[in-house]
Amino acid sequence: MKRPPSIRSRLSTSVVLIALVWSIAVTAAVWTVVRHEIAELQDSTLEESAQIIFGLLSHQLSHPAREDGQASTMPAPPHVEHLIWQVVDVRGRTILRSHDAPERPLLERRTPGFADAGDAWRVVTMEMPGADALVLHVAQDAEERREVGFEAAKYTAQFALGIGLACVLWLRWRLKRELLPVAQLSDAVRRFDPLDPGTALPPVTRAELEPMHHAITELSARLLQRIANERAFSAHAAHALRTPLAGLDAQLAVALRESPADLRPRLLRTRAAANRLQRVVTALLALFRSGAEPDIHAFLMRDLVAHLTFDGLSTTVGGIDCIRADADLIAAALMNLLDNSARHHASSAHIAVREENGIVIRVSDNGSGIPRPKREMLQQAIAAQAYSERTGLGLMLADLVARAHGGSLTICDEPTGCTIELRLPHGSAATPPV
Amino acid sequence: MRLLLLEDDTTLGEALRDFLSSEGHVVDWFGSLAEAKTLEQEAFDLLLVDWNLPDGAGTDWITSMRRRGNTTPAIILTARDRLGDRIRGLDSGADDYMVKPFAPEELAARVRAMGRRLSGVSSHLRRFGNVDIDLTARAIQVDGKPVQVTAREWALIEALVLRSGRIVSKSDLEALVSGFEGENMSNALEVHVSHLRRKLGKDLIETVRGMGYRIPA
Repeated sequence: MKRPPSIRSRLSTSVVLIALVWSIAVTAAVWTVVRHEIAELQDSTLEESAQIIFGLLSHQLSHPAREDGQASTMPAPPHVEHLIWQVVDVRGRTILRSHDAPERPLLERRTPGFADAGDAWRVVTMEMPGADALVLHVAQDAEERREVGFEAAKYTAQFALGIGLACVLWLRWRLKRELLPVAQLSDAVRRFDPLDPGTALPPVTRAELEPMHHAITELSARLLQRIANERAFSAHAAHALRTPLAGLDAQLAVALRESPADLRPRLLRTRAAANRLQRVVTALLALFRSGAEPDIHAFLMRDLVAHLTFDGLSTTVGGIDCIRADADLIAAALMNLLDNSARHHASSAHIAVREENGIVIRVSDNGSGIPRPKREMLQQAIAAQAYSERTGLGLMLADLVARAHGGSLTICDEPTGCTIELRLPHGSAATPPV
Repeated sequence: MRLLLLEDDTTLGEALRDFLSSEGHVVDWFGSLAEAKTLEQEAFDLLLVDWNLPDGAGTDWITSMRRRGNTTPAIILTARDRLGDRIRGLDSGADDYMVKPFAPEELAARVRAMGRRLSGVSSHLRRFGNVDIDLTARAIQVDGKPVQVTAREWALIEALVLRSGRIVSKSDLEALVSGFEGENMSNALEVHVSHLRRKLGKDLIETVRGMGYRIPA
């Protein structure tokens, strides 16, 4: 079965994706806004600078242009010029310019306002008062502007991205920390056994887990009560049923000794029926026990089988003799399987025990067997634990005993008789007592 | 053997008493600990004790008797089938443990086995001179020929055989004989011993004056 996705990995993925998208979006926004604001700031600075230059140049513009047609050039300043400027007359001639400004007018147009002179300059144009219709171009290096804008945006975006990534890491850490109590509770529930006080659920550290903790604790308390009731019932039922059955058998045994010969066959049949009733009751009592933890200990199969006698059925045991399993449950299962053999006209049954991923107990008889269609139907019913009248008490009990040992029951496909295997992974071979 | 049966279920108690009596044992059957305690000083060969009795646990009674030095063998008869119960039962001082329902034939076999253990001889076949006694088949042969004995006589000879070489007190044997219904003669023991000597030979049962009787080991 495919494992369901984990909350932590799904949340982590979501958080990382959201944080990354958020970081990229914020970074892009910061980039755009910062660049825009820097450009505005630079334009504003450019304009203000133009105003200053405009004021300073006002008196010098009374001087005419040079006779050779060349623009007058300001002397070179001691620093790098970040701003250049030109005064251009109506014929498009530069009549005055800063030291690094080109001879040729920066712009053809004379419209006041901002414009770009190719990729090289950002220019603000101002009309100068007077009849000469002079214009002032003040320009800023476009590359320098881009560089400043880029640098400002880059550092701001890096900072925003850094904060975003730091948030991702912090969120993941918080997520892990907050999901830790869930994982701890899940682990505690996995190990939790209401019958084992050593595995009690630890108190929860998050309010959201309290209902779950409370529900599990309440459920386990109800389960414990139910088990206690079943055990009490089982103990009472054992006493209430076993003793009268023993009395019935003993009375019949005495009656057989004291009765006239013509009554004995009838009494023998009655006693056989009483013995069958004993086995059914023992099986039912074992059913109650099969749901509980098996009582695993070492025992000899030969000793156990020696007590399981059926009229007309000879039973032999082979393979591993000393095993570790729940002897009472195994005895109940074998008793019912051998009872089935006896009722299906078997005269002999062989119980073979081998090691294979635990213990496998194989019961074979020479009886009438089970037709293949019915065998397949029974096997499916047992596998699905869909017990019904068709599976019978014996197979159902044997299957529950196998399941109590962590295993299963298989009706084998054999040409003659009936062969049933009980696989007991929790069982094992043991050393016989000296 | 003289058996004390403690079983509160009337159907079972009555049937076990009758079955074991038919096996040649003398069975005193009681349904409560209070009744059994009145007979603690009596000599029984074996105690058959139900675990759950109306006035207490049979296992506790066995434990208290063991503390007082009573070593009479005991078999617990109970509906408790769990491993832990069997261990607790045997640890209480019992010698054997039988889970109900059981076949009375198996109980009888265990009683015989306990008797053999009591005598210190594991075989159920015993030979005393020309007398062969089969404790399981309850058969006696003298010079290879079968000899018929009554239930009372068998109870006496079995008690002596199981303690062969030891003196069995008169009072113990009288209690054994008096356990049979209709036995109210004051000299019943002597009469039965006399009958046994006539059937098995006068030298088999030795009288130890003032103490009781003995079969040589």
